[in-house]
Amino acid sequence: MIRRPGHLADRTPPVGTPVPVEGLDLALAGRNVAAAGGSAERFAVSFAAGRAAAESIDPIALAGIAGWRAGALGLRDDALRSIDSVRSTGAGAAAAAALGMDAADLGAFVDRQRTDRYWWPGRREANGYVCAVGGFRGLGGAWTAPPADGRPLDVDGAFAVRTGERWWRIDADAWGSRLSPLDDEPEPGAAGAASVLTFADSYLAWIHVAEPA
Amino acid sequence: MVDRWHKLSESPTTSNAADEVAPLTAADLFREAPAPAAPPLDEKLRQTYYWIVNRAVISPYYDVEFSSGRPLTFELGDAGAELTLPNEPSYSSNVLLPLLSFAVGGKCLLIGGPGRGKTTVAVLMGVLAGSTPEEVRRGVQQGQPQLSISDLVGIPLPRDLMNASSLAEIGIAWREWLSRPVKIVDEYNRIPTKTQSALLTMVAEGYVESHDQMRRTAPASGVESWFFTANDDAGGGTFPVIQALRDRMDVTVPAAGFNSRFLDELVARVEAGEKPEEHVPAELVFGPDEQSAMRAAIRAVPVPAEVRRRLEFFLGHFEFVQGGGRRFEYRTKDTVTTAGGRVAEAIEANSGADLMTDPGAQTLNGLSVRALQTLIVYAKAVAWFRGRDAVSVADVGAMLPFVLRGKLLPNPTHPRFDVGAERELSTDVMSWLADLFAESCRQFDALGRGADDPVGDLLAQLEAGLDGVGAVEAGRRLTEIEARLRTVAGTGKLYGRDFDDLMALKYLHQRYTAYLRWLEGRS
Repeated sequence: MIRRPGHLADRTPPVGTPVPVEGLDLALAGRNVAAAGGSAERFAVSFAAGRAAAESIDPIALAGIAGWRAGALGLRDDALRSIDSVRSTGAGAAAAAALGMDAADLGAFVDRQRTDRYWWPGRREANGYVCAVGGFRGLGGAWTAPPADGRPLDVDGAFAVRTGERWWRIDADAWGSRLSPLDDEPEPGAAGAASVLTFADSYLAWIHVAEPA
Repeated sequence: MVDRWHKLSESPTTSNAADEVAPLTAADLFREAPAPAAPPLDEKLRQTYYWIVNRAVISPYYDVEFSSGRPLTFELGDAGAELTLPNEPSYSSNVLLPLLSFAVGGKCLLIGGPGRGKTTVAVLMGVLAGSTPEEVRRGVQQGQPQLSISDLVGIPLPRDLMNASSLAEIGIAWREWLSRPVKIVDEYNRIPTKTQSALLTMVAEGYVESHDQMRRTAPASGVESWFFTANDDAGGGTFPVIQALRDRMDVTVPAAGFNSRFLDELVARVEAGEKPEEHVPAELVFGPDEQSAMRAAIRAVPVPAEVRRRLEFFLGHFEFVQGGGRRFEYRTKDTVTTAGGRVAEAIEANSGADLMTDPGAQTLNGLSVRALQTLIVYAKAVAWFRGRDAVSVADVGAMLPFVLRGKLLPNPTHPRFDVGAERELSTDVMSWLADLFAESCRQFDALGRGADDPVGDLLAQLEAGLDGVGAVEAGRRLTEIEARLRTVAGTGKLYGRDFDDLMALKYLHQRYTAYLRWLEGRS
């Protein structure tokens, strides 16, 4: 089987129909989510799920949460603040639905996320694997050589790998990732619980978090 | 309907240093993204290149090669043919060189048989400079045996001719093409000699003269580029091209033939009746300010000392010929040529050096200052085009054959052009020039000239100034100069690569001798 890049939290394809909200241009928001590295399709479905769970939720805050869930890394801090806010107004179920989890798990999820950006409720079942990035360019991926020399960088959530002569930076969290080429070999940062794993026979680099026994 | 022409490449030379992920808020999702900023000029030029090769001119020939490390090569056939797969972005010369000429305001000669897209490429350059396709086509000067100076530059107003009491009162109806940023002269080797001379004034001096009236040819941007076409550059055509005009061609670019595997695209164009110059995307047009800024940016690309040194070494090979004269300074190919002698015979008569290892023995002439300046400008241009901060040896090597073609002339009696596999170089001038530079670089490395440059050190010492240099120190430096001369004399062989060093040592000796004499006179 050919493995392709993606997040293990996204194993189920997005299904559902977004409901229009008066005064909000959800198509524009979807394009902006895609421009920020996320999936417009998953954003629409995630937003629809949140609205279906509780119509009382502030639609703009919900869009931020749905956009983060759809993979837009830059929305992470704003979305975590919005989740706190909607929980205090009793609309936590909508936020949980947008994130695709049970409402009962939302509190624990937010708490874990503050210290572990890779946490999501299914991670333990996935043996600590979070996502695979890169992939062979001939099959729609990013790289023409297998990644190697994976290392953490000094920025939280950032790693670097080398493919052939070229170095790449990986930014990731539980829902999304971004790959960007580097001009030079980066200085390694301090190692943490999360690491980037590479394999000689694979064009994928895996983000993995060692779970406590 | 989908506009198949309007597709701009995100050029593969773009390299962004990775930044942090920019934080966003939910409100940002409902704001229209700001219009993308205009790309930097080098990026725009790369996009233009890729648009031309991917959309406009069918040219799957990547002969300007760049590789880091050794590229993959395949030996094909049994006659030494070798196909190279470069591992860095490489380019099609018949698009890249005209584009760089457009960027630097150069003069480009496109050569090749009829129907190879020479005029199409030149017309595209005119459209890139902001003219409409109709204006550019109207402005193309078609070389033909009856072309007069008036046809080229314009005519005096008949009314003024009747009434004027002096030449100063005659107004000239100048041709409109004269002040276009891109000027195109088709088949310039069919233009009569007298008209070629008028053309030379325009190309060389940037003005045109008629009936004592003068008109500058530079457009508002100050950047004007010229494109000439010819079926060959070996003396064919109705009239021989005057040497001074030929010398003004900054680069000579052979047009590539049509690759039969791209016939489908040709059929599509025939069916649609489309011409590429009518579909140049507006984003790729360079305004006058952009043209000036582009040329300034190219000129500002530095040439590092190690590249300059390697280039100096290459240039040094060609002026010297052992039997060219009696006095040491006159032992040059120019001495032989200006006296009506044959350089090839003078080279052959030199039994004291190995002709096979001496690159200077392969040429009939040295290099002009103009050719060197052009080489530097084009090396800077290609480095800038590739997004590099400084010129590299690879940049110089890539541009050198196009700049020196027709300027550094091969010595047809050299044994190299007579022997086995090398004979093909007698007709493939571009490969010969590329090989000449590669061989010079190999010798540079083998002789360790990059690490050890005593003449350069002595020149730098003088450049630092003579303030505070006493008689003892000046005397020591004189001794060092003489020691260097003795070292070269001790080898028993003399090559072109030493000629400029020896001249520089004599120059230094003179400067220090005069300085010492001045010191003694003062005391």
